[in-house]
Amino acid sequence: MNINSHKFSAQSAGDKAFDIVNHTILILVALAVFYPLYFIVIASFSDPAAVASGNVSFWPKGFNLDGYVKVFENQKIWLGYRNSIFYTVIGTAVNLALTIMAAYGLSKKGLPGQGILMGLITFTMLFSGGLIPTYLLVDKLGINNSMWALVLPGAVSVYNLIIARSYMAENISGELEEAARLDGCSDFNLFFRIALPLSKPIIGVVVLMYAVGHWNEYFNALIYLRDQALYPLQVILRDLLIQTEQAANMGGDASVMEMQRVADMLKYGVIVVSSLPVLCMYPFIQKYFAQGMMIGSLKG
Amino acid sequence: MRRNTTKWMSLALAGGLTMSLLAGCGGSAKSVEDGVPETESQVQEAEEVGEAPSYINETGYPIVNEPIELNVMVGVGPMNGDFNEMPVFKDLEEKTGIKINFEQVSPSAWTERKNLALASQDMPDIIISGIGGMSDSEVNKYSSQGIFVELGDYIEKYAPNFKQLLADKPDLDAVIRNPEGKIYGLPFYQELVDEKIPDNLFINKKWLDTLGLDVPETTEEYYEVLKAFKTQDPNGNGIADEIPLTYRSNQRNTGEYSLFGSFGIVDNEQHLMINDGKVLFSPLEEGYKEGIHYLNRLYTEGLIDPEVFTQDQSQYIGKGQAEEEIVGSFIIFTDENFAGIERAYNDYVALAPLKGPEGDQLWNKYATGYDVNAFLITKNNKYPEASIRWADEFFTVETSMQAIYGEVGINLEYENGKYKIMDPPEGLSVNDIRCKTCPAAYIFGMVTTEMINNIEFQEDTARKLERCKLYDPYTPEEIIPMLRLPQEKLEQRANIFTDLTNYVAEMKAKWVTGEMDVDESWEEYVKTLKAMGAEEYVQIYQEAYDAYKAQ
Amino acid sequence: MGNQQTGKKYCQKKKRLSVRVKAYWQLYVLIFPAVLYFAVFCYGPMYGIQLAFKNYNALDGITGSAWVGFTHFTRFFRSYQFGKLLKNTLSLSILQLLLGFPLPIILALCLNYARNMRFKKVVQTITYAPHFISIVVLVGMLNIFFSVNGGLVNGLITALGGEPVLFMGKEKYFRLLFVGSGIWQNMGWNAIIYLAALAGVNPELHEAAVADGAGKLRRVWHIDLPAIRPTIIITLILNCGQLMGLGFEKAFLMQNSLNLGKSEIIATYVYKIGLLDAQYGFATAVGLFNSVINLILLVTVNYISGKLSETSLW
Repeated sequence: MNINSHKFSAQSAGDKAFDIVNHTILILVALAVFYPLYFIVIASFSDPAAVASGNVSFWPKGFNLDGYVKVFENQKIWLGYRNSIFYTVIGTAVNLALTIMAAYGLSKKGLPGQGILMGLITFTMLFSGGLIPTYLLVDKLGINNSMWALVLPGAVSVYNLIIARSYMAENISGELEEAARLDGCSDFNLFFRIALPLSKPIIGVVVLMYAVGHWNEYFNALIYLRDQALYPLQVILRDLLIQTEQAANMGGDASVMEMQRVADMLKYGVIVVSSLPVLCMYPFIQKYFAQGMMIGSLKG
Repeated sequence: MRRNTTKWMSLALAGGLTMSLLAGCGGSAKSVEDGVPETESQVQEAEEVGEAPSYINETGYPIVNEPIELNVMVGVGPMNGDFNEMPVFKDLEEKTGIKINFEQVSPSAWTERKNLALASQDMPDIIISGIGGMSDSEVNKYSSQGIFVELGDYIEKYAPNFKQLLADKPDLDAVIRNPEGKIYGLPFYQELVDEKIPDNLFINKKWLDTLGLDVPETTEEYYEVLKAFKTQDPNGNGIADEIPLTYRSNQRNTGEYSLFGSFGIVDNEQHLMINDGKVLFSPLEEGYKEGIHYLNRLYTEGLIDPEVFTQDQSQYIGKGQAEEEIVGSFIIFTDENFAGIERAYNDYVALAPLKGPEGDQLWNKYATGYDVNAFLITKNNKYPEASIRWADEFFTVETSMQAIYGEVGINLEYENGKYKIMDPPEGLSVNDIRCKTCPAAYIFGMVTTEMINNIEFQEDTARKLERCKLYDPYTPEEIIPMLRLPQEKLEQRANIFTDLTNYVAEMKAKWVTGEMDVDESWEEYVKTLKAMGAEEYVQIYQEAYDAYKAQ
Repeated sequence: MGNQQTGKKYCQKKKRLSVRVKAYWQLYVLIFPAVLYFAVFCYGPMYGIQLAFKNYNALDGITGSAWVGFTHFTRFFRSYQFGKLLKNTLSLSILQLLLGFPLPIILALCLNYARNMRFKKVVQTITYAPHFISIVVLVGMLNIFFSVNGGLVNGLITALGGEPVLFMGKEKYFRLLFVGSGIWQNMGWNAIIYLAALAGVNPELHEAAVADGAGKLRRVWHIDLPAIRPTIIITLILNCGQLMGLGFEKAFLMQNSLNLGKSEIIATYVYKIGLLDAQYGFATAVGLFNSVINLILLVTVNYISGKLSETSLW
């Protein structure tokens, strides 16, 4: 079902104007956003001095692959990819299960205690005990230096929970549920048979938010992981950046320039290397937003 | 060879990249800007040390009768190899019977990991701050909580080499104790002169020759030269693309601080100078105002790069290496890093301090920054005596060379008591292989003048050391030494300093760019600085300096 | 009599409550894991807040450390620049909210009316991508694009006959550049949530409206916007609860002595005065101050929204 239900030529003058303005806006926005992205890619292949002095605009200058060579000659990169994918998949699965179940339960206004729970949960978005007690807790639970230290301490994001809950409260019709309930359908059944399918768009959003969060995560990894074999990609890439900076920083011989040059290129290359997988993931999740439309028509 | 500790913290925070770092300059370990030991409390150091415990041999080797293991947390840069595999530690293990298990923490994790380990009491026996760094304030805090162990007594009994160093180097002896007179850390002591004069001024000699000009000696001549650079197309490409002078404002290595020397004062990161034993806040001095006038004149006539206040290091360097040579004059630690080797060797020359209108000719010099908190023992350590004896090995020339410059045969040639840094294999740098075989500068130990005199360095370091001789005659007689402030002064200073330095930077920028007029706003400026606590700030240092002198 | 009645009512209510609790037990089961998480990982460490009033001593632990009252707070409030910091922080985040909040909604609506599915997907992917760029590189690019020395933007300005502008060094452009680059980076990302909400709009409504001869603009106004209004309000409330939470990194990297008057915010200042030196008490105090302000903002906005639109967080 497309909301553009008519062919362009068959539309009223107003709608034609709307389409023209709308598409112009979209094209301009896309170009404005695209150019700096393109710039990052060409900068990752270009001589950094030329980049910094504004001589790289539309085509790489002083083309070379030194930045990427530096990235991929590092054996740990592949391990990092593997770890990151693993953490992202497991972490997101845990996040999603906890968040969606709770969001559904809390979306029922009639549920006793719902208001208090929401208040208490929102409170944690604003206030936290800080690093030390959290660290002590993780230590005490014995999940230090393991994947669970990256998964459990952030198992539910209040923001995502609230978004999902509000979506469910709005989009899952109470009447439908009442009818199902009268047919002897339990809350579990309602959740799995009706709420989940109807919530596909928001599940897509929540998966995306969590997955990207895990993918970009490095702080907890820095704090809780000691075993280098457990490092996710972001930590390894950071170390790589620091390594070239350290080399440039130590001075002492003629390679300083060279190291600074590679360091500057790496800045851009690292973005390409680390964000490509998440960019590739996007279209698959995008599908869910569109799907929602068809199933959404079930309700009401 | 340089060590740059504290900057890694901001680095880690700023998302893995750099603001002021580049080009190896620095060593501005912030752990060491402070404080003064009181003479009387030094006496208490020699208090009775208990009988040596039975596990240890007081002299001779091995140090321990039965092998022991110590857990050490150390800040290790990603360039370094595995400390557990390094020959220097293996050799020591064989010699002393002490095995070290290193927990190696990357600089981006150092701040949190170290503090959490200490804060949660899940702590190692020893902390070697390495590349990570440890501030005076941190050491003060943790030692007052009893987490770090006082070393004075142990040094007295178990560290003859270090004691010798203290006796030989009064400047170290003056700062190794905290204001209560106690020693908690062993240092990375170094006397490399190049870091004392980090900011050098360079000028394009090729352009001078092209235009038939002499190397400028006074501020007025310099002004004329810059003007000629601007207007007479010295690079001959027919476009007025020349940038007569560029720098990065308020940076220790690439900033304009020393240019104020032509007006009788030196400005620096701390904004402090000493005149006749009196500590002064340099941005309040008359000479500062004159310097601002001068810079403003250059700026408004387009002789200073308009981006001096905004450019980042990459942009700055980018100008030096632009395809077309466009920079007339610049400031940096070493010119290769700005202009590349070819231009640095052929086109640019270092410029001696310029003579000002009143004949003033000064240049900045910093007290050598070295880390006095490089090695710390925690209360968990069951073998403090053995730990100190082990650590004392690093204050012998042999072990220090091995730990800091690497292995003879791999990194060094050794002949007739002289060391030579070996050329690296093709495709690698000196530091690449050095960091693989030894901790390099990221350890504790010493690089003394006597050692330096016996090392033959690579060419660019040699050039830098040569340049320092050009500036040295013009540096102030008295400079702020390394001082150690008491904790409450450190905290007081932190607040005041941030306000002062912000305001000074802001006003300087406005005056130089001509957004405001110096003469009109000077009074207001002085009043504001005083309200912010400039006098208290000076007082903190005056007290510390007086106490330092009194020794 | 009145008493009796209320008593009865109360009894009824109580009974209904327990019945309701029982009836909903499966919902409680669904909520339980999340509640357990919040109890353990959020409320468990919450005792750490007392550090704001203490000098942390590792040996004594958090609970055992000595109380210092409001010392940390007074140190913070007394700093010379406190007023300016607060003003800069709030101005920046409010501007960010005012400009940054509506644009993703507009983008989502525009995308929703794209005629070609492939075109829509391409635009969506492009606008989403900048989310993955690190702040360091973002600021680096700002420096390059807005440079007066070969920068693209000034190139354009001079080509159009204007004078080059030192964008990075003008106080008045700081906020605009900060917020503008933030919008560039996050507009597409933030639009996702609205796209999902729009996907939930019942197509029949559109069909009916088309049958009634309603144009697209009218449909946007009367169908789409009301449909996603709850999402808009909820995100608005949540954003208001984060006004004081402006991160330090971007402002710090964009800072220079020419824009200090506007670019010094609480986060950067606190960083500069050496928060890192294990000053946990002080750090917690500043955090607590920010949280309290955020709480006040959030509760207020939530209350207003509850009154006006019946959408609220609890």
